[in-house]
Amino acid sequence: MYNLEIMQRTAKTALPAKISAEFTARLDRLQPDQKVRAIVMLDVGTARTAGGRRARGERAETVTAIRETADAALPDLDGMLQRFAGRRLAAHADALGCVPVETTARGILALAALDHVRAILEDQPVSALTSR
Amino acid sequence: MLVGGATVQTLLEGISWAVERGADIINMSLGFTYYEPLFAQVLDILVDQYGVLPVVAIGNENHGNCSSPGSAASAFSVGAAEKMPGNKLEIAFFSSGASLVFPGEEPNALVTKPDVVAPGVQVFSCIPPEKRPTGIYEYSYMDGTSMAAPHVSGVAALLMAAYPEAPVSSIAQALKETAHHPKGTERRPDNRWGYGMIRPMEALKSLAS
Repeated sequence: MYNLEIMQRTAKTALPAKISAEFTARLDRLQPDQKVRAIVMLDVGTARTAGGRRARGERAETVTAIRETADAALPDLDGMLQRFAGRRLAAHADALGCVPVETTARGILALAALDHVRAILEDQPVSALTSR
Repeated sequence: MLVGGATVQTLLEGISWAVERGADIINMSLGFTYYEPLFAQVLDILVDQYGVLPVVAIGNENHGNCSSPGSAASAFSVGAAEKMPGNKLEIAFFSSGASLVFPGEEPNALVTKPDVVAPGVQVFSCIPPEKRPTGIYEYSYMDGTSMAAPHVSGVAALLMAAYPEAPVSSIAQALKETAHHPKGTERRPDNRWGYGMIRPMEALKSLAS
């Protein structure tokens, strides 16, 4: 179904656009069988509002359209995850076209080579910017 | 609100939840562990696909630094101002700010952060209360650009309520253009004040014109 060599080559060329330099460096430091959690951002098409605000009904239509577009890519995503001992961590894409996954570093690179994938972010910690 | 153990996944789940329920503003009083430029694509979706204004704390790492995702070009980034003795207004020492170059159509174009500033020192916070030595749970006064960002989100919400048809770009523009910079409009934006301290009434008037 997939040509792994081509996938890996394509992934390398896809790196600058789809995976940040820091995440790439962190992937390089992982053991081959070590898994990482990440967020796959799927292609959701072109802008529908161009910054304009919309009524609730129109917002709901946009959510549905983005989810459907993103969900159409899930079979390809699942196929690739299966090859790299990975798994999807959500049943569907969210309203932003994002899907959390867990897989190996090679799995992340292979996912980045898929046409439907526009970016992959590490599931890194987030903290509040406050002090008492 | 993200308290304890939050990650990018939980952040995105929260944003998605809010967007589905009709939120027009997403306030992100938060920072990542490391710089993630691709998160800008999430902000782009919020603005371009949903017409949502992403208001983001710029960070507490002092002048010359920016937190991610506040550093993103599409983030409406907020620094912290502090009221000093004699009613003098200064930028809090910790408030971040820097100018960055992003790939784009215009070569070497600088994006200057923060965009604006708002009160961010000794703000009575709605972060869940902690137990005091007396055994009583109390809210706290807190410092940080995380405290400044919600002031801007709140003002943006009032402006959006007053002008429901105004696109997010107009709301952001009104907040920036009417902000007060102590050295005058010709000195802005810079990496301490951005365009300046927000002035809600002036922003409201500018949208009317």
